[in-house]
Amino acid sequence: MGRLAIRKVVYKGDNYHFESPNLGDGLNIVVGSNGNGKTTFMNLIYYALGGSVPEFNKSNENENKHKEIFYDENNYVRLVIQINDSNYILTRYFAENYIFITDIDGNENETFRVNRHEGCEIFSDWLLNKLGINVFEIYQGTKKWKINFMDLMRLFYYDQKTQIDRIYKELQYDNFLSDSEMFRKAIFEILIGKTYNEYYESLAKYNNKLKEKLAKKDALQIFKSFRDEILKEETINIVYLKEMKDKCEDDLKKYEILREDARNFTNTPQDVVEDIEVMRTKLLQADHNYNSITEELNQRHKELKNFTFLFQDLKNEIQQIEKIKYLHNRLSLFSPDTCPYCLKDVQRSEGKCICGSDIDEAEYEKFFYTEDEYLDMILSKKKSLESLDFAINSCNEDIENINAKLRELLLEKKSIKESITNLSREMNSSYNSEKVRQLDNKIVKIKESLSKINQNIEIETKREKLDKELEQIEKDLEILENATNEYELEARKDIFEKRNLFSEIYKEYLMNVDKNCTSARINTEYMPVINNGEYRESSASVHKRLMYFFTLLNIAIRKNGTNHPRVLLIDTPNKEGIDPENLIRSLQQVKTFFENDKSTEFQIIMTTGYDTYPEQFEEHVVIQLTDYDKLLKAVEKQKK
Amino acid sequence: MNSNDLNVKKQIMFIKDEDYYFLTYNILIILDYFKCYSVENLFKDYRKLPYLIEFLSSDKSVEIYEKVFETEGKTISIFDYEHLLKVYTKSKFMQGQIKRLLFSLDQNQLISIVKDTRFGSVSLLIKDKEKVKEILNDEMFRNEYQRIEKIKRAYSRLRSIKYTTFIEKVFKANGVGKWDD
Repeated sequence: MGRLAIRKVVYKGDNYHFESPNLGDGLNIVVGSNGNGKTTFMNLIYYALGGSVPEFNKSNENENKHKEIFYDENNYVRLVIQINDSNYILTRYFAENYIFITDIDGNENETFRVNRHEGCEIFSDWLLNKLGINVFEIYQGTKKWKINFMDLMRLFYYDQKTQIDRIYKELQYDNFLSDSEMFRKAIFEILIGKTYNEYYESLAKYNNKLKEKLAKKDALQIFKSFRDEILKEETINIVYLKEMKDKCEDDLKKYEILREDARNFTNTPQDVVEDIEVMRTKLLQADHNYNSITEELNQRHKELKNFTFLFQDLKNEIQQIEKIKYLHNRLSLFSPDTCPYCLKDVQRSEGKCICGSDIDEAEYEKFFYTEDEYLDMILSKKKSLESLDFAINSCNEDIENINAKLRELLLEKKSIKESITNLSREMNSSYNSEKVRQLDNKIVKIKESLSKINQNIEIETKREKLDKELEQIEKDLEILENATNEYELEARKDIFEKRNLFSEIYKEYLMNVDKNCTSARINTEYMPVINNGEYRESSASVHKRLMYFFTLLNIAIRKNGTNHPRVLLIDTPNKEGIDPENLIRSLQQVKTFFENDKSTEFQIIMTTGYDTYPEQFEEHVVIQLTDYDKLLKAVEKQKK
Repeated sequence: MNSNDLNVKKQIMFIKDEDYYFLTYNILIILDYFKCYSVENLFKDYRKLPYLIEFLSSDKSVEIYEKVFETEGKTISIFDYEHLLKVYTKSKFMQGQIKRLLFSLDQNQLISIVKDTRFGSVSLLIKDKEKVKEILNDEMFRNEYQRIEKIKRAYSRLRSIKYTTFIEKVFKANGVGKWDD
């Protein structure tokens, strides 16, 4: 939706300098012979916009150096650019990877890194933001990649380095992910599709949320197992826990009042006798429990003994069958065709038993076993062994539990006996000390369980919070999914129309410039298919790419709401092996942009050789370079 | 009946104690332990074999065998008697099977069956010493060798005594098989 135009290009160093005239809307042509600095001009623009130009790179000694710039000192390139209605000055020093931005009034002053680094905002993010393009991540498998301005530029910077039969400008760095088909499609879709930017941004948000969900789920799982480790009890929900807490607190109050009463109450011997009677009944009950549980324990011990015996026996048998299998393997004395009586090989005709009776071969049982059958037996017996092992373990667990119960009962019995002794001592005193002691014990127990319940409530509250967070994430995820789907649907509908429009314009361009071209369109991967794929002439490749870029610009001018910045940089399209006449015909297509008086809505900057541009474009030539008047001018020593 | 059912049926029918390979490795271990490699050192009277194999196949049986010789002259417990009875009947039942197996092993050149005219019995020796030694030289047979070591320690003349003496000493002295013969 934003529009970008380059208004001025300035180079300044200790040894060389260059300053372009103002570059207007529409077509700007830089003319020069080989070696005059046409490509340097383009490289300066590209570099200032955050691109990587190996010839300028001061840290790389092996590259093909651009001598004047490489050896120059304190040098920088400065661009005056226009984004929508605002002008900005971009300055990039050659030794540094930062771009300084000043707006034309000098109000805004910012510095950004050129390359991505630990999530900080970079120059490309600033530029895309100004152009109204959201920066988002593209996921492929577990990898993700943030979209850069340089990625989009692959479809509006016609450079010289890219091989002639390609469409997309070659990458500045090799990167498997950012050159994947999916990524390249995304570039096309963002440039001329409607709502594609929203779709990809929404998709990235969805993917991020999905990751968040997985992390939260893991956290919850860890929390749960941690809780089980600490509490070793089944989970009880918060409502029940609070109820339990209330009950405990009520009990506590009740027993504290009872205790206070007991302290103030004077005993009669009759009361004490009654209390002792109650205690004795309790003791009898505890004795009875103790006996029946001991009985159960004995039963379990018997079971355990039986299981252990069976386990040992089966283990022994498995070992023996393993030996049998081993011997069979080593000696192979007997086979299914061994006679069970004389142990010699059986000679029998098919369908007959040894005795001569008719038999069904499938059902005829052989007396001896094969190695596989022995193995099957071992495996099935090993399974039984596992079951026995399980039975032994659960028996042992039972025994442990029963023993724990018995210990508890013993303690209970001991404490009842103590109470009875204490009570009988109190027969003659009027002080109620035993009752108070019992109540004290009760109160301590209630306090213990209360603190346990409190701990439980704390853990449950935390768990509930995590649950709620997860729930919220899941809701958000659903909303994002719906939004993404909606955007996708809309975007697909739009891109379908755009693809048809693109094909139409592209075909028109190609048929205008190439007499052999009869049909042209782009496929679902947005790659050109010319003459239904039977078009092979190599000189046609220049049209193929150039016309592709023209078509993109054409659509951007015609249709509102695309993200194409409506700028086109073309660096010297007259490559070797290309017919100049053909090239001129191609370049003439630029005139289609001037139709309908839309010449103020786009900018094309093109460098080209003398006589390799249409004559009627003479008025658009802004810079003329010659062998005596090259791009970079030496700085006069005196001035310096 | 499909092949799977047949397999299951065969598995159910399997009786380890009657498996010919089971008997074979036990016989070879016994002969190897007593160094029966030549006519000068024969394993006398093959009929002792099924009883020895029974004792050899479990720790419990070895334990009872040892008890029989430790408590010579005294009565054994009712549980041990029951076990001894089980060993006796099972082994007696196996006699025929062992005989068939011995002929087969003889034909396969693993052992030799020798008629002992003086004793009036049939004796055995290992023919292919190298092969048998090599097969039995495996960690998995350690238990069997340990058990037969215990059996020999309890009564050292095991290799050369007559079948009837063996039965007399181990079973009949304890009331097992008295009704026999």
